[in-house]
Amino acid sequence: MPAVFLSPAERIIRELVRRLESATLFSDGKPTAVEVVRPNRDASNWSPKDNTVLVMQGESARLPGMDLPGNPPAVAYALTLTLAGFARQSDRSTLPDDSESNELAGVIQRAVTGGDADWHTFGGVALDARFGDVATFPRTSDSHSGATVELTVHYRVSELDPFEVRS
Amino acid sequence: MFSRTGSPTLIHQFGESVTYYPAGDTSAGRTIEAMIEREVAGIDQAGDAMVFATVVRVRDDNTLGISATEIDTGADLLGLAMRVGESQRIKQIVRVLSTENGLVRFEVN
Repeated sequence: MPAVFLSPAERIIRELVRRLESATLFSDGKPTAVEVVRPNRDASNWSPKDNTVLVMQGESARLPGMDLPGNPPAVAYALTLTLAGFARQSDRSTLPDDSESNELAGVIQRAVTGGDADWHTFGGVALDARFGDVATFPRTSDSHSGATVELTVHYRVSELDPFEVRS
Repeated sequence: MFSRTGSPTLIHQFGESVTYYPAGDTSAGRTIEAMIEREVAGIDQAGDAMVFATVVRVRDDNTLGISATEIDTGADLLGLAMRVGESQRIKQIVRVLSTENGLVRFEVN
C-alpha cells in the first residue's frame, strides 16, 4: 500500500478546518456551532445554511523573494484561502442584515488564530499567515447574506520534494 | 380554477416526496409532494463557490404543501433527493420565485 502524502497546503487547510470547527456564534442568545465545509466537485455536499463556513482554496503562488538558497534550495509559496460565512435571518426579521455577517466574520478570524501567538505557523507547517480583506456579500440578489474573510499563508518546501516542509 | 384542480393534479402526477422543515427544525419535518427541477447549477456570489441549485414547486397549502405566507427563506429547510431514488439531504430554501395558480415555486441550494 503506498504511503499517504499530505502536501503542506493540505496540512494547512486541515488544521484550518479543525480550528474553525471550534467556532461558536452567540447571535441568537445561545451558543451555536458553525458548520465547516470544503465543497466537493458538484457542490452537493453543502448548502448555504445559517452559520455555515465554506473553506475555498485558491492558488499557491510562487514567492521567489522568500526562497532560500542551498542544495536543494527551498521554494516558497503563498496559499490563498477564502473563508465564506453564511448568515441567514428570518424573512420577518427587522434586524440589520449586516449584524450577523459582521459577527460571523469576527468569529471566523478569532477561530483561525485561536488566541495563539503562533497561529500563523499552522502547527509548524507555515512561515507566516495574514488576513486579507473582510467583506460582506455583495447585494446583487436576495439569496444569500454573509461575509468573506481572505487568508494568505506562506510556506516553503524542498525543491526536490514538494511534500517536505522547509523552515 | 387551475389552482383548485390543475395544480393538485400536476403535483400528484409528477411530484415526489420531500420533507419540509419549518424554521429549520429538523426534528419537526412535514412530508409533502413536490415537483423538482434538478441541477440548475449556478455560481454562488460568495467567492465564486459553486452551489447545487434546484427549483421546487409545491402546493400553496400549509398541510399538503407550503403556504406562501408561511415559507421563510431565512430559516426553512427542505429534505430532498439530489438524484431520483437517492436518500434525502437537507438543503436551504433560499428564494421564493413565484406564488401563483395554487403553487409556490422556490429555489433550493
